[in-house]
Amino acid sequence: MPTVTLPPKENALFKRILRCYEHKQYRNGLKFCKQILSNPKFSEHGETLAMKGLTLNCLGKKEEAYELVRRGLRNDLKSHVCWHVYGLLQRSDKKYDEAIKCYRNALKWDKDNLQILRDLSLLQIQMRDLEGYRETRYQLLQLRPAQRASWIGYAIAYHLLEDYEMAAKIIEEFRKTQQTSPDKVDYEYSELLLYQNQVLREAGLLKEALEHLITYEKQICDKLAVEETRGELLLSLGRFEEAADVYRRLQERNPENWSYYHGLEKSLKPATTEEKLKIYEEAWVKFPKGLVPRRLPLNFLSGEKFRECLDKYLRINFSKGCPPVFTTLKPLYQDKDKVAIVEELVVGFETSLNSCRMFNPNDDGKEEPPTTLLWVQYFLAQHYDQIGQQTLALEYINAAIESTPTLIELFLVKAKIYKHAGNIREAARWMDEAQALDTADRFINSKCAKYLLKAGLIKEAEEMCSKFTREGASAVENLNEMQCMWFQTECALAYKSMKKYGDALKKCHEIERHFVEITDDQFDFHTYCMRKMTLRSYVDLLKLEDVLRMHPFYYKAASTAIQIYLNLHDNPLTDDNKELQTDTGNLTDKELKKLRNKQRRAQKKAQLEEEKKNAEKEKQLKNQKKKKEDDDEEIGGPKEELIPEKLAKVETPLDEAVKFLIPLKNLVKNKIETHLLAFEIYFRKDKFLLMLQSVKRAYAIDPDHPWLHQCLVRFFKRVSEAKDAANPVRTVLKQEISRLFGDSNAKSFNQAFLSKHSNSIPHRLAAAKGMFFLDPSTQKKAVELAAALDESLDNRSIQICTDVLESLRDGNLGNATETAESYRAECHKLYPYTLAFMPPGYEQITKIAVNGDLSTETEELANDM
Amino acid sequence: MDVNMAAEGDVDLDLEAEENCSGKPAEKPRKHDSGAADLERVTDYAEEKEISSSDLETAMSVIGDRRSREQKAKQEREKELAKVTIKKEDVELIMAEMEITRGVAERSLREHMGNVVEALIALTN
Repeated sequence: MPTVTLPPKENALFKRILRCYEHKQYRNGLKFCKQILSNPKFSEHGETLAMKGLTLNCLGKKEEAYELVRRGLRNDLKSHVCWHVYGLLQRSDKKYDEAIKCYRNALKWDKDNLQILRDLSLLQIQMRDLEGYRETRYQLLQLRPAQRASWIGYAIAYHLLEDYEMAAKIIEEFRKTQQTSPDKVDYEYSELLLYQNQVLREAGLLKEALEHLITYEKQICDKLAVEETRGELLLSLGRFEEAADVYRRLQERNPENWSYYHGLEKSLKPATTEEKLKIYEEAWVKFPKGLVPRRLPLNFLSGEKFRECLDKYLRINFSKGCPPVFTTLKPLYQDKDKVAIVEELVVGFETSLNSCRMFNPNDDGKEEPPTTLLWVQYFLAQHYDQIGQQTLALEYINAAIESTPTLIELFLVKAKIYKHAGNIREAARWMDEAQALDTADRFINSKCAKYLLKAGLIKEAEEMCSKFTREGASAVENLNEMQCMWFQTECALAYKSMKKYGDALKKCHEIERHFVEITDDQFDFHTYCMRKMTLRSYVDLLKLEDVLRMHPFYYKAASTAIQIYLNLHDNPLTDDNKELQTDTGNLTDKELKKLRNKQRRAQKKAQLEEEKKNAEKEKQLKNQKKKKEDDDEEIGGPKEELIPEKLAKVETPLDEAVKFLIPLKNLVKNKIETHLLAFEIYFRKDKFLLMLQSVKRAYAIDPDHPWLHQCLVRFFKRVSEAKDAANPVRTVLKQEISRLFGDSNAKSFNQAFLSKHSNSIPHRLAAAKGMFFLDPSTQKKAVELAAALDESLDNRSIQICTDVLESLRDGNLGNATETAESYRAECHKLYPYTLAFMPPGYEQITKIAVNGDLSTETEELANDM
Repeated sequence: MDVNMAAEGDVDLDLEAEENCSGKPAEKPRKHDSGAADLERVTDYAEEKEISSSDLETAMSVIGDRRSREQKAKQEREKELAKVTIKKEDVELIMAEMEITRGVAERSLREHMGNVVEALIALTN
């Protein structure tokens, strides 16, 4: 209880302060605070001071707020209000653990305070203290059984704890207390019913769920959800005939929904392919224009039947001019026979259309319009690109461009072909061409920016994006504010390949912060969703937030950051070892001088730019500050600024890497790269058991993975050298290694791996590296092993050849400069477009220019001469 | 999103404004282009709705017994685990080797009846 009680007049004022806070009328609240505090008798009144602080916090004055709230609390340590306010303040600052402590203190002085219990429960659910949440929710239910939220919250607690039956029971008890007439439409009641049904299903009470659905069908507004759920339930209950009826009705609603056909297949249980096809043949009659019933049979048909169906499907699409038709067929490319049929058929179309404007010379009927040929060529270009025949792909796309030079899609595909052929610069040039055809198209603008980034043209990409970002702010900042993560990921990768690690890390950290923000943003929905009864979406949201960092955006950012940190651990930056450091070991004096000159010029230029940027930044910062003062937005204080130079000079790179790794370890267990990255970190940290954990998990996913093999070789060697490990650790290592791998002699292990996979290039590379690592005297053999390129070998690709070339150059296989050059030349013959295999000096000749802006490039060229 | 400027319907009760409240722009610059107004409403204050029904008591009783049973089971498991004796050095070894918190390390050691090798093997799975 508060130590000072206010007289009635002040007490009334204090109540108004609370009201104002609740209704976000902060300015009025402050006026009432002033009225109390200006009375000398109450100028140090704890609760009023605290409330003044809380209100000021909402107006963006964080420091003042903390000072006032703390002063208030000191003046009245026994007031639940002061503790509660302190908790709210910490909560708004995202210090959730601290906030929970404050609430607990507040509850000590007023254990049944509803508002505090409610706020506590919000934090518990936010922090996923589910047991605690259930306890608090139970207390709230005890205190206020008449409140809707009490019941719902308690039920959700059980639901999240996966006690579905109990959750269902609570909802049912609650539902009974709701009085609704069967004819009235009540959306919230409808949502409650659907939520209850979901819980029943998750509880495995399928029969009950179906009965429930039928009983309340009329009162549920989401009719589609009712039908789809009914279909699923009938299927699971084995009532196939009824299920078939449901899916037929759904099909009528939307003949383009894949899942309805699958539902129909499951309920009719066709025994043969013919019977299965019959389902679709019926649909062809019923929905003559439907594309999905034409497309789906291609998955299970083969041979002549497949060709027939494909023929019809493609003709419809080509005549109509349907750009994504290739994309719809891409999944079929797993099957070589189908690929051959597609190729034969469409090449036939092309020949025939060229000669007689019909799909087939034997067709009798009307001629196809000229666009049909265009789409056929467009398709063939994508087809040959997909199967790695870029030269043919380019022929088709160029023919198409010649006939229709204004179609954006064609340039897009041309750029893609170059990208897949390993020439990202040419790709970016064509994407820019595409973009120039319609500068108001944001999709193509973004694509172009992405390609520019992949080509390492960061500034150009920023300019490209600035056509669509807000005016007055820099594009990069605006994109960060908008959480535009694809852009930031590509930036990070571009910086990384330029070895600008600080800038790359900055981008990775920015992405990480977006994820923090997304997690924080869920806070408001804990109250909102319960109030609006949108419980299905709410539970979905919670489940999504639990696995948020599974998202590819996070994965990419995290793995990039980890790789950079590993690199920084291996080659730490010192002051005179700048980021731009290049390998100067094998340069002549003259070359060195030239290089130094170039670097100096670049530095000077960068400095000037930096100054300009700083001036701009300052201006923007000022604007921002002003904005912040004006408007009451944004609390939680400014986060620590990300400075590239500081990030690159990190003192504990491995610990930073672990921070990015942990979410991956928890959420992306099924990806082998997660565990291999983990191994690389723990290997450098000398944590044997964590190395063991990583290889064990990776081994369970793919025991023959080349990267894993390299990890294992290094692991075995390290283990055999470790004599001073603690006893239990050694016992565990010995026991587990012999259980999993039997043999743990690195050399023979490597040999066995090689004999098993002697026909696959990536595996040979891995074994070669292992060989050289274990015994440098085997270098010649190792290099030979890695550099083989015979046609007969498996898994030959641009990517793996690039990797081999890199290994030949970077010393992982010893000094192999000569072999590297001849290897490059051989690869160049195989992959004539690929930048990585171009002859030395090629780069200087073909600088690309975006938007015709040649200035920067020519300047540099002039300087070089 | 927690914080908002004063609602538009605010009445100015006092002419003597605080130093920082004068000259407020009426519109707040939008962070995201769409849905901003909807998001605002998420944090609005709302009165709790009450159930008007009288048969709350039966409903409450259903929930009561189930709870006490489940708490008992949980407590017993905890009691059993607490009985296991564990060595401090083992806990510290696990913490250092596996980079986990004391709580998790202790629990895994207890679950394996204090056998440090078994606990470690389980943690590397």
